[in-house]
Amino acid sequence: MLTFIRAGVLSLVVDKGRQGFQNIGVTQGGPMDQSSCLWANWLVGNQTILASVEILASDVVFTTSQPCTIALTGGVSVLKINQHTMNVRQSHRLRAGDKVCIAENRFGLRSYLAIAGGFNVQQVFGSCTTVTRDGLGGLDGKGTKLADGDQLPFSNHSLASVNRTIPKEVSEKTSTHLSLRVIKGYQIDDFSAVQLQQLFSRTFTVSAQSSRMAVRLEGDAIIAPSRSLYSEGITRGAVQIPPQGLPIIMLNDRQTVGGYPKIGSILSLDCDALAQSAAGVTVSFEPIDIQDAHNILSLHHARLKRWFEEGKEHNG
Amino acid sequence: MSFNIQIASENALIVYSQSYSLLQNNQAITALSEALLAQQINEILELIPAYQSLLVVFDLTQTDHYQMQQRIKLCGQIASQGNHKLTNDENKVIALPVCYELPQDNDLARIAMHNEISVNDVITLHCDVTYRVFSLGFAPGFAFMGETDPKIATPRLDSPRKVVPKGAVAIADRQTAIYPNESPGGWNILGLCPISLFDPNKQPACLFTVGDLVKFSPIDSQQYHSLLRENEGTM
Repeated sequence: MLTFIRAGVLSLVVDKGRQGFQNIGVTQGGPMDQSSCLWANWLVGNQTILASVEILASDVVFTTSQPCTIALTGGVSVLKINQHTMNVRQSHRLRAGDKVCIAENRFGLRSYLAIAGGFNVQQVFGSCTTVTRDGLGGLDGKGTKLADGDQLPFSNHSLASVNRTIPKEVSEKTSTHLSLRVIKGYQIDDFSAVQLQQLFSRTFTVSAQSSRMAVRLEGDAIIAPSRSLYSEGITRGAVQIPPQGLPIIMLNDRQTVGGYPKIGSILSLDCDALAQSAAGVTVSFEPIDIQDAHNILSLHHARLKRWFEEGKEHNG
Repeated sequence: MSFNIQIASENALIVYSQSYSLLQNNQAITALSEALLAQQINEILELIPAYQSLLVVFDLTQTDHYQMQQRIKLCGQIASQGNHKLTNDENKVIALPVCYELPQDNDLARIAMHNEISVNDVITLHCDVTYRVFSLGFAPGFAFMGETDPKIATPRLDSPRKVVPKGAVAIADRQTAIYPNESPGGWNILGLCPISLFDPNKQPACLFTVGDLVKFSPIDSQQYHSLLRENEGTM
């Protein structure tokens, strides 16, 4: 059992997300930064993303009633175990009664806590992912965020012990500017050359109005298309241009359908980076083709596979 | 049936129907969606049918855009030939009771005034039409149905309600819907439906699928409360 002494502003049980129910309006949800969540799970020896916790910001404290192996990745930059500062890029073996504190998150907005074997949380629509707006998932199954005193039960496999470190080549991204690669699609042909030139040449700023649903941008508005659409399915990373002309990037807790024109979708890897970006980070858009996207993703997956293999060999 | 396939994201394609009317487009999308479902394609993660589009999300570790495009085109041909079972279009009409006396904070007077007709006319016109579920979204189990008689079409409220009660039957422009759960909302409320539309513990969880036909009938508040009790008893 892991007990949250301080649950922080927004700590949510997540897994891969809710899949296969968007046709009835059920939101995908899941880790906003999938790469970091996957690394946290790899560090503790999980083959895939099992029930984990997404933690917004810092000042979160938890303790364990049993020995277990945990890892924290993503935004966390200062991790303390019983007041001692520990390396964030590796798995940690905890003893019963150990107290863990996420003291600082300079590497991004969101940190991921994984445990060997995953937490044991009930599933709703095949997932324990918390989606507050849908009232689904989480400890109570009703979409409630974690609160002080909440206890997360371990699964049967939580006692497994591994010792892994993230390879040095995998760097934390802490940039103050993001170049977001947009796979051209949806209604892009409805935008004029002038509109596209505006969109791809301007720099926008991440707004404080952003949430798990979408990142809103501020800056110089582009001329928005006048055509209104019938609502249609929205992908993760879809770039909507509403009538006021400031792009909105739809992320994990987006609603399943919407009617604003879209120019395409941000590459998943860049959605992960965007999910870590606080208000004030600047972004620009770089158009790419679907072929480019496939090449980038194939290369990424090959590299990830090699890192995972090498990391296993070195650390057991 | 004619379809146009566009890129939506690194692992999704969106298919647009290119027929002449909204109804024809939605029928074509429903047929295509059913044809794809019938093929039981493992690589497909999500199929999201909407008014005149179908979003197909797939597993990039198993397939790619080229292969998916071929499969969608093939299913488009199957749908056009009508070889598939058009289950939805043969469907019986889902009859739903609505109590137009509740909630007290409703917009019947506003709808009547906007269209210069009586409140009774609003209710009659709302019950006269058999609606089609064009899309599901906004919230789990929220069905966008249309189209209402133009004589009761009413724009959304200028400022949305913070709380719309569960079961609220509402209209916006020429669309009608039922709020499956309590939520904020800007549609004009006409009444309350006692039937549960969305329940994660039920199979199926959602009463509607895109392409379903729905007709409303008026009940009084006594019938409403007894149906509500019955409905809750089965949960």
